[in-house]
Amino acid sequence: MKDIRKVYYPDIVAINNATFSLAEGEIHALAGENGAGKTTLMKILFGLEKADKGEIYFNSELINIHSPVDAMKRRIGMVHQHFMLLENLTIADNIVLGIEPKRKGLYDYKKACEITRELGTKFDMVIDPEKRISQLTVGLKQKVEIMKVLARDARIIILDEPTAVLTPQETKELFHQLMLLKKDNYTIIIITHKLREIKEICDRVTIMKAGNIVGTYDVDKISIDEISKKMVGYDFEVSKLKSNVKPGKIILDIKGLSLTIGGKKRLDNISFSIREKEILGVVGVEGNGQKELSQVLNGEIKNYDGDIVLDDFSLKGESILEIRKAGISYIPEDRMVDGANLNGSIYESAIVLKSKEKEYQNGIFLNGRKLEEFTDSLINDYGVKCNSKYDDVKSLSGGNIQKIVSAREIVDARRVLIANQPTRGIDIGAVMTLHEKLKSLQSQDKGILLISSDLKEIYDLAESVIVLYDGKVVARINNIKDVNEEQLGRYMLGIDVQENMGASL
Amino acid sequence: MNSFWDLFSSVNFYVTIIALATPIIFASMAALISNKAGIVNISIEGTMLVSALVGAIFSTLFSSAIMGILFALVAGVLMGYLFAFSTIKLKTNEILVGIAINILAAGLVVFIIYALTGNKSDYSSVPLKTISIPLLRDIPIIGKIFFDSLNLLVYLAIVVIIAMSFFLKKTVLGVRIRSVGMNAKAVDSIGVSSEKVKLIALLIAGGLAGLGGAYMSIGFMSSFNTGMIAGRGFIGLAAEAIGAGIPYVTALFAVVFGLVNAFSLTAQTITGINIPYELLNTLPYFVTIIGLVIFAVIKKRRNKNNI
Repeated sequence: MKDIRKVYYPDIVAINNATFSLAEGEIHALAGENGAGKTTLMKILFGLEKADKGEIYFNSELINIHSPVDAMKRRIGMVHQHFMLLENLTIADNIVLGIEPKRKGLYDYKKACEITRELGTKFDMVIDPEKRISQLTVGLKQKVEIMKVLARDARIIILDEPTAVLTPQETKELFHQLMLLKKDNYTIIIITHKLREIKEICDRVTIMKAGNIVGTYDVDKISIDEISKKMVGYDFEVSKLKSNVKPGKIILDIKGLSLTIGGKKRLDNISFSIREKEILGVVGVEGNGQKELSQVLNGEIKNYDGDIVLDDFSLKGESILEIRKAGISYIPEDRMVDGANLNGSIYESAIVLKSKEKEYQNGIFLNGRKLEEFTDSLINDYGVKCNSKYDDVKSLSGGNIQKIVSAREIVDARRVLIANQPTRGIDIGAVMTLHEKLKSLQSQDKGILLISSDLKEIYDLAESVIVLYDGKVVARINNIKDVNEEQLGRYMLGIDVQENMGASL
Repeated sequence: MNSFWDLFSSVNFYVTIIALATPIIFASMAALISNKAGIVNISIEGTMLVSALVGAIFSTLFSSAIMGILFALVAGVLMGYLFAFSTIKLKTNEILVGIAINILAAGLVVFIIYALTGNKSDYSSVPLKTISIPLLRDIPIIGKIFFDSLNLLVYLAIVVIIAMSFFLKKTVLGVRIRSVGMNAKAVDSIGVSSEKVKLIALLIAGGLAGLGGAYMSIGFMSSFNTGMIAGRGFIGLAAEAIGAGIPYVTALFAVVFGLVNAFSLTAQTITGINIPYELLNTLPYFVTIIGLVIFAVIKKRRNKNNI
């Protein structure tokens, strides 16, 4: 089985040029950073996305896969990161959906239960087919998804970050079961960035970086260090942007944040502080707590333990509005969903914060002239490319949408700006603009928390950096010049933990 | 009639309840199967109206009540297709389509009657005969209520309730309809077209609403009248909501609404109470609102307990 393909999105190259081959009966890891193109590549194989160029060979025969149905015909199945289950139906119902067994023209539920039990034994687990999905743990739901794929006679099973939602015990169990499948000559692809897991159960690993395949290696013949280097390796040069600012006093102090969602610890006793004129980078492989951290800091999540102190005032449990009023602004990770109203105009997205201020109101009305001037100034200042400020946001490119969102938030930041992946997926010009603006904000006695999976960005902007792994701070480096990207990568992937952190893995 | 006691002890009152519950049962079953497929189908009201007229027209045309019912059924399915085509294929908002169909139906029936007869509100039909079953009708009380003066469509409504429960649980299509209502994406992800499943559910719903309409003009009365559905389609939706999508519970609430309806019609004849006729007529709708409020409160409590 051999494929060559290439994918272009409107303004992002998801996969530049990738060749990937799979041998029967192996467990193959597809590794790489977020946005490297792993999931996209697999979605093409499963027929969920269309390749713009390239071919797929199945047993040296050229095939076309237009939809998941085509993929299933070739006995390829995929378990998505987000489960596709019917919560109010039983396990058996879910497993046979679409391939229901029949008796005398009627739905044979007994047979469905039998099929489910049989699949359970294949999996070395006792399963109650009549349990409803809504009563299951995340780990079990995932198993139901895998069994669904098996029930459709798949021989090639793609798992998209299967362990991201699992506890360590569940992960162990899953691996045991995957090994059983391998013994039965199933072929398994695991999309992952957890190197220990690759070492533990995979035969071969294909590493992707920025839409390209770095290479495919036998897991026996490559060390964790080498994989990590190939995954995160960049050419670094000292940034011209970096100024010699001396951080001032502490503005934002995070004390022992912990958060548990669905039985899994998403944040585990996180403490750090941001000083005036400091850009603190937060790095880590996605899914290690960055999202939850930003949600706690901006007030989306309130039921956390620990405390957030801004200039000696506790913000614990405050609403999003109160936190904004206190002076923290936020560039959300997903500009399309949380950042801007795609169906509204640029003007509307730009003024959403300012329109609340007295200064921009005339009694009960908005002061249109002032708000328009404000919008114009943002557009000019950030070089947003648009025909008019009344254009729909969705007509803009990703970079220009991000400029609008960032401009609004940067202008609004009175004490601290939380920027979550501010430059992901946008063009280099927009990246430069935003970096400059972040730097200029820094020179105004404000603190910036820069959450980014782009190490180059962190090196370019941040003075200090903390590394999140599995919801914990595993390293804090006060001067980023003291750490090279290789060591940072080892922290990010959980290979090393800084000594004084006291965290154990 | 002299007192409430007279009312509640008369066999006729119970026959009226059943007669008035029947159209609501059809409507509620149409609402139920639509809702199972994840669709709020308010076009049931208009569908019933059109089918009631179509039934009346074809019953006189063929001089056969049965033919009238068959054509009403077909008209219902076609109305169901119109709704399905607009919501599924054209992706129009289902509430808006429902409103449009209801308004269309109201205008259409007046137009058709006027074109055919020259008057604007009535069209006489060949009514369905009542069925009197020997032996069974001799059972005291029950025989008089259930086996002496009801017609085919009433019995069909009871069959529909049982069949609906069976269909949703025991047939592949039934399970798929429920699956689509829960998570259409999950159904699509395994290669089953959720749109097709929705279409089938809506056609069945249209057919059921058609039978409900036919019952009004052929079974319950012997003529069609433009105001005769009188919100029964919507009350069916309410019964379905309160019945939480369970066929038997839904039917039970359809009967409750039938009871209230029967009471509002007959209470005027009780001597000694002076409730204006117009006020009594609002009773079924008033009870619908109260029922929905109680249902909403219970549901909210239950959700709270779950958290």
